[in-house]
Amino acid sequence: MDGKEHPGTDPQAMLADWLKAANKFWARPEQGQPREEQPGKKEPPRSLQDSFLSVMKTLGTLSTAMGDPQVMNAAFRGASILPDITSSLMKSGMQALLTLQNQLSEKAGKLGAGAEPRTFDTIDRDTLQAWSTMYEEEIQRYLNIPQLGLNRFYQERINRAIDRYTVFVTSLTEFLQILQVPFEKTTRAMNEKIEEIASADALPEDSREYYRMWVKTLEGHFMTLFKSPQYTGALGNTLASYEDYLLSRNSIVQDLLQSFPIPTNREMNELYKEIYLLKKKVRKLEKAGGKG
Amino acid sequence: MDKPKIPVDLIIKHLAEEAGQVHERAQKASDILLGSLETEIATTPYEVVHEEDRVRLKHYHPSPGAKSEIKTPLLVVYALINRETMLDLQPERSVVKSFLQNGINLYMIDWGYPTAKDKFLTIDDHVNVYMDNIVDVIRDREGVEKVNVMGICMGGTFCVIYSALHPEKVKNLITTVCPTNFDTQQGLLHIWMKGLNADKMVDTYGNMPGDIMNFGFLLLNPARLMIDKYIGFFENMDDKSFVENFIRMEKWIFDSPDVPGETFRQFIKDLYQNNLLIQSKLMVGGRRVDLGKITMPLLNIYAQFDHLVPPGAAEKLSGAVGSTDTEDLCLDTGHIGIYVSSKTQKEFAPKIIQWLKDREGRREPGHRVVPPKKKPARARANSTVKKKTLSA
Repeated sequence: MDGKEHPGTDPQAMLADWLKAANKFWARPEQGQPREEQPGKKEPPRSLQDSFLSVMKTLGTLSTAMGDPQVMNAAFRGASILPDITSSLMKSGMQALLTLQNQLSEKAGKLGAGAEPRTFDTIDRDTLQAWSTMYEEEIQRYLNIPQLGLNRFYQERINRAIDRYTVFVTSLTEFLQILQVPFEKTTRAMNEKIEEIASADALPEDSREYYRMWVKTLEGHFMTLFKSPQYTGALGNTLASYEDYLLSRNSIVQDLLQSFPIPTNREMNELYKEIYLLKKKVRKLEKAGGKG
Repeated sequence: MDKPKIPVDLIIKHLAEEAGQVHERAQKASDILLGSLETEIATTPYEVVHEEDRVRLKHYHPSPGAKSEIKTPLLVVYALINRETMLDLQPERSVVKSFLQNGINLYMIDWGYPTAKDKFLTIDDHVNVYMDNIVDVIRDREGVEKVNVMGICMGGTFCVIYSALHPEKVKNLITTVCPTNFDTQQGLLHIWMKGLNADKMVDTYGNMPGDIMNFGFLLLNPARLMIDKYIGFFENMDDKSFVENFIRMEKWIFDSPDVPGETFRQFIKDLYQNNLLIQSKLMVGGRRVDLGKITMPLLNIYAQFDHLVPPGAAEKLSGAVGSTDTEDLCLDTGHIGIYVSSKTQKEFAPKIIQWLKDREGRREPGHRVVPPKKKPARARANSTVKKKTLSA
């Protein structure tokens, strides 16, 4: 672009010409159809024509007003910044979109990053740990996004139940995995023990003796495990997460029950408590009456 | 180094023999399991002489020809966990039968099956309402001022609380595998309960589900209770009597009523976690449970190999009460074995009977004989009201 305005392509001049033409056009219907009044003859209502002419008149006025050089200049200045605004809006939208996309990509890339690389021996535990970390850091937060609108409370309760269920299943898996440890240890210990008694030529002939040895060793490993803080921690987590899940599930059931013509748990509990307190009062009164 | 000599030939020979035995056993077992089995529990006849809400009072029919040297009725209070049917599990190993054959006038509380409406019931309700009303019913029926009270496990704890709060109604107190000191590391249960969030559990479940508690008990020794026990069953499936008794035990052990929520909450927090009872700091119904007020004779029986109430949880009671007549007896068995093993059948019930006999004639200052009241309408028509004339 050389920066010069060519007369044929000058937008301001083009707009002025267009407005002039438009003005003439809008003026025609009003001017070109003179009303002929006939004495003694009542004019039929011309509401449609009148409305049309009124609109034409308004547009003509607007067109004339726009034809004023000052107004036209102002309008044109405004129009010249329109592409800037559009571009700015698009830029901002694209940036937001890109940021979101980047965040999602980063999160997807981070999945499992919380779990440190471990050895093959602990692959099961590591997998569980990786899943647990990934869930807590990357997935759980989406279930905690505040909900909007009329159904927000219901949706939040459903999300909470999904979250609590996932946490419970994870805790339970961890707990069951811990319970499996004594079996693994017992197998190893039995191998060593059999090797030991075999080298001492003292292997029992009765197969039940092997079972007795196995169950005694297993019992010992369980006892050691049960006293460990890892076990009590896992047991506590499993119980707590199960209770959390039950509570969240019950709140959904409560929502569902509300739509049926039957009492909810909450209502029944209130009733039970009332009966319990009333019974206490009656007993007290009975005793007082008996003494009197 | 010489290669170890593995008696492969012998092992294979034994395995072959065992395979033959297993086949034979399976055939016999199928006949037994498909045939008729006597697996009823709690078959000793009784009548229900009092009911309040879910709680019933059983009165056992006296054994024909049994000498009644012990005139004071005995009230047995079982735990809220599992059921009192354990004392009458099978005819030849029944504590109930042993008591009746020795002339004990036996009453037993059946706590029933709590439902959602019972979740607000506290220890106070169980001890100061249900138990106290039951004791009053027995006193009225029998025309006595005091009754003998025997508690089992958690029921023993209730009896201790009751005896401290109502000593005027208890002649002799017997506690069996009864936890009173919860500050011990001997049992896994005590270790686990320390960290239990009782509030959350009760708020979640309402009543504490019996099945969850049972699962917890199984976890105390899974190798024995979930594996070895059933291996033992398969090895003895061809023995009809073994199968019948095994099924009786299974029936009892998995018959687990829920525990009322508020009672569970208080039991865990005040007892397991804060150990208030043995320190005489426990509050029940607005009153302090002062163990010093337990001045009646006390027989405290516990088991050496009890994994639920280890000796450390039971043996401190006799030193904490106000009574001068106390006796501790530690039996060489476990928590359930104390009542059902054939070995302790010869020790447990006979000891209690003798101990009660020894104290039956003793009269305390201020003792009076209360005329018996008419039995309630529910009582058997042909049953007789026992007139109490307590000897000096």
